[in-house]
Amino acid sequence: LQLLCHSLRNEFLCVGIMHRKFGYILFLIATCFVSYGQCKFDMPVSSARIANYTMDVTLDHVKHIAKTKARLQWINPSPDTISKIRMYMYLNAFKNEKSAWISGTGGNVFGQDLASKPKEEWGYVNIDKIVQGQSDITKSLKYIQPHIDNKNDQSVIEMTLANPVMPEDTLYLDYDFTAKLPKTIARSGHGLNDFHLWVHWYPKIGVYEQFRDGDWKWNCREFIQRTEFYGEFGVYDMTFHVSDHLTLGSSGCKIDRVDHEDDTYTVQYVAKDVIDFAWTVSPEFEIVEQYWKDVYIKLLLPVDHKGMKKRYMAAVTNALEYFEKHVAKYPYPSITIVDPPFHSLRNGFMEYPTLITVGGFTEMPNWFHGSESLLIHEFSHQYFMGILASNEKEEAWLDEGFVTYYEDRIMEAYYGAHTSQIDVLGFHYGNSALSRNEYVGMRNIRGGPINQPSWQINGDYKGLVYAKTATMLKTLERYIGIDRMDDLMQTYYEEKKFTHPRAEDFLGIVESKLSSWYDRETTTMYMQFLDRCLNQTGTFDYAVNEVNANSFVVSQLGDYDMPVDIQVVFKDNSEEMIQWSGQGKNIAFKPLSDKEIVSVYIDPEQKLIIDSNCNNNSFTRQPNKSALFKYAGKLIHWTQQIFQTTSFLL
Amino acid sequence: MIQRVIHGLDEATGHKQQYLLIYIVQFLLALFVGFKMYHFLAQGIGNSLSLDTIIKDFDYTVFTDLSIQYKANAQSINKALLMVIPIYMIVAVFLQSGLLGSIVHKEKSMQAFFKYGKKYYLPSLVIAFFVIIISLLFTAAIWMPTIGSLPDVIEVFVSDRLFVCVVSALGILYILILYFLQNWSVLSRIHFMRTEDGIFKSLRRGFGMCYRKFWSLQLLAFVFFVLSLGLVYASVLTERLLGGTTFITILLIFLIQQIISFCKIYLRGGYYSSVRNINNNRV
Repeated sequence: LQLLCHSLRNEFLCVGIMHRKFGYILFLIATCFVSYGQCKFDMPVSSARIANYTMDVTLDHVKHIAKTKARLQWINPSPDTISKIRMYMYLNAFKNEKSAWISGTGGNVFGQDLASKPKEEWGYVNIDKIVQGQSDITKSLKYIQPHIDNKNDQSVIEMTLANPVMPEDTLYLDYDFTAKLPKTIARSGHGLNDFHLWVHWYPKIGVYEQFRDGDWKWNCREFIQRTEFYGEFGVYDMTFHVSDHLTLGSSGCKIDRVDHEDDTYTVQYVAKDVIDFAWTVSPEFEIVEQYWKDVYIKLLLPVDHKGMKKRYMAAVTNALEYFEKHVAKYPYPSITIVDPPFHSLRNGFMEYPTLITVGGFTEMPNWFHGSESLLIHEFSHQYFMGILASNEKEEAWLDEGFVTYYEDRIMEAYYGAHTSQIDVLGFHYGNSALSRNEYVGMRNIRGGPINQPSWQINGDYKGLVYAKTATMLKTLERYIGIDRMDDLMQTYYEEKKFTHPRAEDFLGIVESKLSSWYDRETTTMYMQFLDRCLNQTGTFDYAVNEVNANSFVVSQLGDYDMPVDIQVVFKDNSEEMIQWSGQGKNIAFKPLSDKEIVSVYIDPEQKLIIDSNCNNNSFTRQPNKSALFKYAGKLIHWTQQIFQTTSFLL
Repeated sequence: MIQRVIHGLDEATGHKQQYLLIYIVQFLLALFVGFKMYHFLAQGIGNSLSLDTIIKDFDYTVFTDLSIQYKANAQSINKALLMVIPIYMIVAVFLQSGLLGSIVHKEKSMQAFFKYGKKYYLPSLVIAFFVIIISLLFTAAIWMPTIGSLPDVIEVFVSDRLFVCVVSALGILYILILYFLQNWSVLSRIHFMRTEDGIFKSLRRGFGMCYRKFWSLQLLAFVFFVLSLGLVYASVLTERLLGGTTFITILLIFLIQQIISFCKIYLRGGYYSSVRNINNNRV
């Protein structure tokens, strides 16, 4: 009976019947050797599977409502006895203008005037009934605002259990809920022609964890702008009942499909060891399927985006290949890529476990790789957010910053170091240059430290969290070398995969790896570099002040120092490399050679890419004035063209 | 049409001196902006090895760092550009009046150029002002609602292919309107130069002519636009082929691009001759 119970459809429901450990053994047997549907489910049990869901969802695509019968199996990971449970109710962020999410935007999201939004275009999620065992605890449901002073926010709900959950014991909650999608404001929503993207759509349990102060508490923050992900790993066994004119795509893998005579079908999907579950339906999707090694890739795109098929597939396989080579093999059996139709572009460019949304147009020119870059960015979240499931709200840089770093690396590996973003008519730039410029070009480069909760960051969030982190990691990579950087990230992945790593976990691994490669002084220097980037606001900026025939003067104009090489080129083209600690202002150097100096270049390999001004790193006594003429001449020519164009009516 | 264009260009070849003068005025004003660029680069990276980088190829980091560190200087280039464009527009009314008057009256001397430039300056200015106002009204009428409603429009279009088609259709309509206004402006001035009937009567007559010969004139404007675009492409191609990494190749590119700028002025002369011929029902 127990083995039957562990058949495909009810595998984790049965776990609770038995003792937890015994259940895990059977669970392993059931999941390790079963290969079904599209996917090859050969992944071992990877996470602690704290929160496991079974849902039976019936979609009313006309009313944009999903009625769901759900069962949550949650294992108390703490030494505490838990009597209250907290759940995310993210869809309520789009219930009205008063939610923390909407009010945080000032009422304008992507140019939409939300004040005039009709009532029927808002969404919600509501728990209709919730039962623990035989006890109905619906009346104990209460919306709470644990961290934000906004009594109207309903993105977190709390309930009191009829029977408290003992340490390591398992809780079962059976609940019916109704979720209505809003007309897309951002992320979740529906568009024209029955397109629906169901993300952040269900009541999801928060994370009960040990805080830094040693206490175990619920970490279940309200849904605010910019950051959202922090959830428990588990297995999602989902059954959907939808109209047969709709194509459905979702996280995880399709297990079974049954067509009915009433023009509907039932389809089952299972996603394992994930922290969230998303799905979509549309009658317009064209399905493109492909395998990369054992990974099943499903691309859902509008018919008029056919031209992007090859580009999307190339981008995702590039990312899979790169991650396997440099970080770790993609552990999931599938990845679904959703390219929303034009009318639902606001649903695009987001990441969910084993499902990502991108964004493209009918004809994207080949010289612009923005779509590939965004796809690779969202895919990289499978690792940083999905597997290394850090708290995006509290430490967004571990998520978006790492993702941007890998996005840059992958793009430049496959699309050219200086052309990976744009390459048209001589104008081109690569991803790293773009990230660096987003950081050094911030309105206030000293705007704040990277390592702070997202709600505390004012000003240029992207410049700080995405770009500065990526530039910091690129600098570290250039100093220690790409092989050691890979080793470091592989260790971080192996030690922390399928957990909730924090900044100190990453930094601890970095320090441990560095100390195994370098002496104490060098290790301290690199750790100090990371600390300054993450926790302080100063800058790095080196400059050559002057160059004379036999000596030169350099300065550290920024706030911090890093040791750098100085390249000295003499009149006979011979070179001398000098090592400088990087400390001090107006530091005079005299090379060993007596030859006449022509030029001096601090950090000629541009290892310290985080330097806020690379142009003052070098000085030559024989400047190539031709370059000045070249660009002045260009501007003269184009100004003449402007004259001729603007005077065409005269 | 091709015969008409060739004939127009052939007739226009006699006004080389006048093109040269227009070219020199354009060059001198552009030189002012070029100097600003030279000083911007000289101040920012005049002694930096970044110069060696940008002479080989465009470098995003060099230019973005420059624009961040020398923001005020970068803005001064924009300001210079925004200053010389209206100056040239005012001067261009004189230059174009001189050229068109010379072509209409079939006089190729510089004296004729200055004579007609002076004589027709004010009427041409009024006509130009009138046509520019109309073009601005059309620009606002077509593009402001389009751009303003973009967030809402996205939700309405089932397909982006449809959206691209609609925007392209608007673009084509806009270009047709601009061609029409350009032809109207030239025909009104030709009428005035011939009859001195008065500005508004000339505008009316010009409009009537534009309307009657709508497709011929539209096609003519299109052909000259394509020729002009071809020259711009040639200038880009020159740069790509020659590279411009040594002083000699930089000089060569500059000279070729200046010849291209001169040829574009010659094209304008050819367009005027062709419009005049259509107006005369010739060829």
